[in-house]
Amino acid sequence: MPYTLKPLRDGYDTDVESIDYLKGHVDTGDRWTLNFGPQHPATHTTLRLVLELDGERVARCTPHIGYLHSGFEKLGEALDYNQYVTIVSRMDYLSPIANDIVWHHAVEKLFGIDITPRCKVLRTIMFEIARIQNHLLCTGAAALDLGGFTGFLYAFNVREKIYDIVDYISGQRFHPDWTRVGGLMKDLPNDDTFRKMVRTLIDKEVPQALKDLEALVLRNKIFIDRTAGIGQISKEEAIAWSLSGPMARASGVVRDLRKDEPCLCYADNWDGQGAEAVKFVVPVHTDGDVYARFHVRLEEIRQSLKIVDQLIDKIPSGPVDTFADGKFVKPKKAEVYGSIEGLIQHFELVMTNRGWKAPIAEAYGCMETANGELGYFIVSDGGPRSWRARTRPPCFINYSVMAKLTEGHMLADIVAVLGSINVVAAELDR
Amino acid sequence: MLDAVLDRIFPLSPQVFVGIITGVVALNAIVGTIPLLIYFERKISAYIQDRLGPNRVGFDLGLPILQKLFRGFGFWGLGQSAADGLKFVLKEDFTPRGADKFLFSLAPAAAVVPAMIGWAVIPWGGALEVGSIVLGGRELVAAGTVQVMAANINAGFMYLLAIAALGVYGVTLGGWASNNKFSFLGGLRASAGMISYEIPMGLSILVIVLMAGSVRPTSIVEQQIGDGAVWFILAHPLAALLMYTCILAECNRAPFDNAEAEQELVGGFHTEYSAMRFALFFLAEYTHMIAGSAFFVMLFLGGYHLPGVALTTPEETGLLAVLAKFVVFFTKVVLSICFMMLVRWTIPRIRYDQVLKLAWQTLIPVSMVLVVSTSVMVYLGRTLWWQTAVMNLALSLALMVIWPYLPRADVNRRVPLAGSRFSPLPGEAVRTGVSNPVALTDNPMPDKNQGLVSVH
Repeated sequence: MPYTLKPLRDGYDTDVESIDYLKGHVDTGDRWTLNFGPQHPATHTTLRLVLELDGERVARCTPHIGYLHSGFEKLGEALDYNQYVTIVSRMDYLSPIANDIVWHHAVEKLFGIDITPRCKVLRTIMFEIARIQNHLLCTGAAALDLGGFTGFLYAFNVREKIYDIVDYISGQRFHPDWTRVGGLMKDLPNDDTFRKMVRTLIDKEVPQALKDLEALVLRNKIFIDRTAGIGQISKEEAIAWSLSGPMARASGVVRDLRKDEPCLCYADNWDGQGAEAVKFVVPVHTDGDVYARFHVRLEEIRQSLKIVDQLIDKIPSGPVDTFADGKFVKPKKAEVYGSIEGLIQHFELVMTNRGWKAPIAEAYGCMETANGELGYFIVSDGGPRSWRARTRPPCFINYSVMAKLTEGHMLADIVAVLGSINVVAAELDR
Repeated sequence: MLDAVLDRIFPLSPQVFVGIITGVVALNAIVGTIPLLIYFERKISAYIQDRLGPNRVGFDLGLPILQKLFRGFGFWGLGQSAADGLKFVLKEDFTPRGADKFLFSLAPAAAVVPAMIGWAVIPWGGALEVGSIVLGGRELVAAGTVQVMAANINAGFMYLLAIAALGVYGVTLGGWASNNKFSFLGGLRASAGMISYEIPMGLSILVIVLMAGSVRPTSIVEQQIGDGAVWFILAHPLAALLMYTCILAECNRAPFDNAEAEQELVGGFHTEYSAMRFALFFLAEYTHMIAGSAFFVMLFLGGYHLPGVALTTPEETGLLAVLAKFVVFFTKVVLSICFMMLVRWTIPRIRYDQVLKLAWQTLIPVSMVLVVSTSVMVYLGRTLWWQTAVMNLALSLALMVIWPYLPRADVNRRVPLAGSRFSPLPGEAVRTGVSNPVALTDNPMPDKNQGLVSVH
């Protein structure tokens, strides 16, 4: 083990959930409780923090979750492997397409399917664009949370362009539900149009937004004063609390699943003919504060642009679905109406009591999404649906350090820290 | 009997007569301008943020006949502010349970009135020559040359400072009376902030008072006009900067808008306010901005004077000159407010404790040094504008040089608190400030035991 994990205090359990709220509570007589949320402009969605304030200092911060619980995981037991993608899209709705890709990555791991090179390239491109989409919101919101509304809108404008691309490839701008087992919902309508849209995005629009955002906030004295040293967590603690993604990398933890457990185009020989993995570097910061997280996210956007740039001009031709016979993929409409095989195949896939046979096995598939390690643990009993579809949401685990990051800081810093964790309540509560 | 009473009243002093007219005209003209300022703010923020801003609401009031008349002409969205105002009138005026009803109603008025009566000593239009007005054989108003301002009092600045200090009551009372913790915090923040910033504001005004040798607003304006005289912003750039910062803080404008920080305190002191009471707070903010800007224009931007235009010199006392001066003055005020809007939509908010730290550790010492230096220069008789300007710049430069060596508290540190689960342990390394920039590790994954490989 590269790091030694040690407890914070003797006999101290680092798990927030197992700690009694009132354990070690001291009534100083001059503190009062502030209910921050669940309806509050800064909690992004519906989060609730119960703060015990000493003046403006936060003596105790108790996150309460569950206000957006919608039974997403339970639905995974009621929907088949293709249908459930509509639900995972709604978990981290800042970058929905990344959830789709990770879900089907896990499913394909369960089935033992290797997808086609074209599918891999398209998925990698959209995975990185989703990362940009997520980071743009988070970095923009970092400015917004500190009262700089303008920076937020500079970043947000570009997200609209990303929605246009998502709309183009999937027909929906917000919840694309784009992937299917072994392939995609449908192939690109037109390669050239897609290439042109992505080119404009990565060559002009995102760099311009980054430039604007950096000019506005990155070296702004007020911004640095508000974020540097706020919500600090050390490397060892970040590992102990199981943080992932920019949260961990901002603390100096060198871990990125795209490098550590590569798949898609991040792995060598992804096309079966010796293609090299995409080249990019993993931004790491050592400070572990809000500013470091902001900086790491900005750098990751740059790296994502680089990855997309490497792939967009060489999208391989060929089928996008693994199974030419459409064993797992719905056949095209023309085939459904035009051939008996297509009709039967369609029927087999659509009827819930028919469907395919999954292996009786369990699989955990995870990838590095914008917020960290997003994983799905699927237990299959051989039926058309998973017996259990457990999500490993990065938000939930990153959010567990909220109290640790904010206690001892001031009320205004709560907002900065919350924004830097980038909590998405839909994914947190599922 | 009646004649005796009238004899006691008339003839009115021309200053009182003009003062009443000025007060009424200025009050109405300026309050009428506020919706336009709100429209400006929306448009300016929209242009900064790459948006269009309001461009739909016209004045057709939804009536088909007017719609037909205007033929879809949108008046560039000018109707937006009027529609907003109408909305405030029609909305439910809600009082939360447990609120102190009297103070809750008093607070908006307490916010808006001090800002408005501050306009009384603003010299809008310089001197005006008034002929005597005779009605029915009785001289109602005596002839004379008077100042176009509501009250030409010689302690004008004392009055302004006193009125500015009253502005804090509305906000604090509103925060306290709402029976809401967010409001309460906002009110507390506002009171601490506004009181702190009165000190550097008073000190930087003192610099100008020392230079001008008078606290009468009209004479300060007149000292900036004429041969060899320049606007005080050129003579005292540092004082002007301090003053403008303080005005931003006094108006509760960004980056000092902690009292109503949306991301932290929802709405701050006006969280619980709705309808016209909220509109009054909104009005108070803009009124404060106008009062503060007018104050700044008067002190540093030459008041009603426009260089090269003879009509705007104090020697001109005709009605036309007064109108020209008013236009010049008010244009300057609007430009100053537009600059406040640019500031608001560009930079993030300073945290509450940093706001106070800025006042007590930076602005107050700097303005004190400035006052002392100015006093010495006045005593030595070195009061030419370039001499004081050089003094200001030298002082700024000296501050920049010694600033990094001054001891300062680490405000971003975490403070250990009793009963807290995670506030730092004694001896825990807590570092603040920006250290090295992003270190990038290249493909393949670096050796995790090695630590960071910086290739950036």
